[in-house]
Amino acid sequence: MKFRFSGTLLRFVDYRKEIAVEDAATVGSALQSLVSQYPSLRGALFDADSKVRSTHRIVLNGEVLGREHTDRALFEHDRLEILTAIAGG
Amino acid sequence: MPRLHQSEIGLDTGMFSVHQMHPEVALRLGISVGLGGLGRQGRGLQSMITSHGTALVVVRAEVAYLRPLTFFSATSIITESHVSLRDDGNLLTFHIRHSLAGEELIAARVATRPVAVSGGPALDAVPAPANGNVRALFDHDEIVPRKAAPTRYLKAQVQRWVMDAEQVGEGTQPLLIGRNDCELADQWLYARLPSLVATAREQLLFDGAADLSVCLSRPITRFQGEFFRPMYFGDHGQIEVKLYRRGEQTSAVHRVLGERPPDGSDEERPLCALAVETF
Repeated sequence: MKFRFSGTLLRFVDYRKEIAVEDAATVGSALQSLVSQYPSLRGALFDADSKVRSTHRIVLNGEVLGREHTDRALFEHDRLEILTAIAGG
Repeated sequence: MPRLHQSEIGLDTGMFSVHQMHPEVALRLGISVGLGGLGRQGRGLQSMITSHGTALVVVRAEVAYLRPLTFFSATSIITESHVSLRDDGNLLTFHIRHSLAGEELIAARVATRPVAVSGGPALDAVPAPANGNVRALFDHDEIVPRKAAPTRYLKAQVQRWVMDAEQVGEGTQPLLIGRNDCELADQWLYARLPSLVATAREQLLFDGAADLSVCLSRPITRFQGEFFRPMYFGDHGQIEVKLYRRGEQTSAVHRVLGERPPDGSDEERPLCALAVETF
């Protein structure tokens, strides 16, 4: 599967707009794999309870997932986008 | 009387075209003076973000050129700014005035929406009215009723204006948001909008729409912009430009469109901003 990035999180993933993650069975495991690869992303993406911050939206193939839906299964050609509503800079 | 912030601003050639102060500069200077003044009063944007979890996102910006001002008019001008907070806490507006010898030359307004930052390093946020701590930073006479400060109205205004105007040109230009077009969080900077759309309009003229040279030979009398969605560093968007003439007045109406959705078409690009230049 592939992550697609834009916006304010881009700087935490070395400005790579697409990142492939292999062998991730669920959305949650893909996110964990991603933050292992880009450690500075962890604090930007997750809150103190290790949940995706409410300011970000996880979108799976165009479908917006709730923060609690990180157990959704992933398949080879899935695309996950992480969108940020707005930044307060 | 709302608290007024004032600074003397030295003029350099880069602030001006041959006709006037660039709209981007008129906006940037005004906000800079306004925020500097708020900071001196212990209510700076930095402490609003770090102590109160509130940041500001611009939803509307406008510049009105009232009297001529060129680089050779003076060595410096006076820039003044005061703020107003809508009583529902949803709109904080900077009222800006650039003047010379007591005469107002350029008026500008920047309306911002308070947002609640998550506390993360990305400065990610969600819209939220100014909280009690932030509201307490503003004096009674800086609070204005909701009806005195509408959030957005440009779409409706444009629809009315173009009804009896003649469309005299149109085109679409690509847009890349570079880092210098962005603020601290890599989100596009409101003040860049006048420059981004002006370049798109100028490209249309250089592409052969010679009868539209009025847009280069006359100063802008008014710039208005409204923001609907953010764009970010690295986004590839489009600017749709339509030029209209009504009597002696020419206007360029710009629709700034964001990135095409994955597997989507250009028609699915979201509207991120609307801007009107009036000549």
